[in-house]
Amino acid sequence: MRERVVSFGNRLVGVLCEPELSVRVAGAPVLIVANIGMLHRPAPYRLYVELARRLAQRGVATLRFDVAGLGDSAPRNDALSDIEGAVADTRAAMQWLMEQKKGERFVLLGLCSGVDAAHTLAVVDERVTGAVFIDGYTYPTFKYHLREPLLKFFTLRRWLRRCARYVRQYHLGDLFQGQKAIYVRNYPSRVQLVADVETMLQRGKKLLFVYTSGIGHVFNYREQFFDMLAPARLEGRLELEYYYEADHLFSDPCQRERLWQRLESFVTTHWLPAGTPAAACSPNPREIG
Amino acid sequence: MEMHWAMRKLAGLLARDGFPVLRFDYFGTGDSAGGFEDASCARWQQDILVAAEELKELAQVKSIALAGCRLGATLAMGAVADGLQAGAVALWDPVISGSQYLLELQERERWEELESFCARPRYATHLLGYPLATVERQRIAQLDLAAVPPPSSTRTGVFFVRQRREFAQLARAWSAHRPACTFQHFPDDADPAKPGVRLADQIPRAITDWLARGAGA
Repeated sequence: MRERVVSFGNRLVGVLCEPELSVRVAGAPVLIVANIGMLHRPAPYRLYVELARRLAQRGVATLRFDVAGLGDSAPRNDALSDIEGAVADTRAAMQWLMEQKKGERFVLLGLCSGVDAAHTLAVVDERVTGAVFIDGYTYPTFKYHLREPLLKFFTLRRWLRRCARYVRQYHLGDLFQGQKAIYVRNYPSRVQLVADVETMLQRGKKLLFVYTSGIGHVFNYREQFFDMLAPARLEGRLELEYYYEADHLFSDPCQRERLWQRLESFVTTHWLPAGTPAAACSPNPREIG
Repeated sequence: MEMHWAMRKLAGLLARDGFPVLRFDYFGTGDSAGGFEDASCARWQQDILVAAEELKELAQVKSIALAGCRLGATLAMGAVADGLQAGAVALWDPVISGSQYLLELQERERWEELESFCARPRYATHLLGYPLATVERQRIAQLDLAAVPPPSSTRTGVFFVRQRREFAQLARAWSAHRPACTFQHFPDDADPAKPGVRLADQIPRAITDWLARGAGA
């Protein structure tokens, strides 16, 4: 595995993690990941660093980079919105990877706000061959509305959470009071999202959607995904995971391990030749005492 | 993780004033090699020495200054105490008592657990989601900044937000140090509606001014 700091586009900074030549898989797509919220490129708990290193052991390269104004990348000097800027920067990443002959097909992965650029590009850009959306777009459904009051009022955890937030707010004040929104998201309409997912599937893109109970206030059961996109019949045409035990940023090491393994299997199943062995030093699931 | 932007800001201000700056991730953190489970304070302190040598070589300078935040500040002071030659050390809210620091992290873990939508299991081997072996916990618990007075050849500045008793104790413990250490307090209630402004702006600016004054003296 080889990692090096790279600079491309309009002074964007990233780290390219490449497999050793002996395990490199010809024609494999390059995974591209960018910031989660305002955090810089390694992501919380080094989610993207570990993922990149594991995929490199499997023969797949990963570029993790900072969009303009975040992490180590220079701020924007144009008038693009947050989402337009993230899309432009991801395009710049793909362009640079192609120029460097690192790959011609790409898999995009986004978590939370990172989903916006990944989604936009996965719909329109032919070079994107697959995408992973973690805690992406959600819409309430009838069953969600039935479950939400039950969870809200009859779950001890929700009450504890509410109390903790009140106490914290009382002691620290409302940290966000009087501040302008620091990141503006363009949420597609439900109809648009259905059309986008259909477009991606018709173009043969492989899709994995992962939801966690970290966004339990807007997504509270696994089938909500299919229900919210009904009447489109998506079962069996894409991959869906609901990690009830995981929070939004995968602070639990067991859940992180579960996510990493799932992402590895998503990439190896779709883009690596059958039977591609993991490198000898591929990390095993760790036991946690 | 949370300090990356602040350190970038500090580095930018210093570079603008003409100082070459090297900022780096410790072993097992950020983009650096290794896993957090293999990291230790001793290893990180070694990393500071390596970074200092790298900076001297890259920037072709003979004298360096160190700046660190929280545990990084305490490790920087430890590196100086162990013999690293530094003209100045800027300590941003340094960890003064390792045992107190661990208690703070444990309290933060409890709050985060309470505010989570799902039950978060606690692991004896982890703290705030990061692996932290018992041995390393014990080492952190033994950290005591007051017991590590800066050498007389090193200007030392302490920049802190929270008005803790520990800082007064640290000032007393280091009162015999010559030249005298600088203690700058940034009140927590300076602007409660914009807490981030103080962190993003005032402290990096104060550290930059302090280092620049020392370099010009």
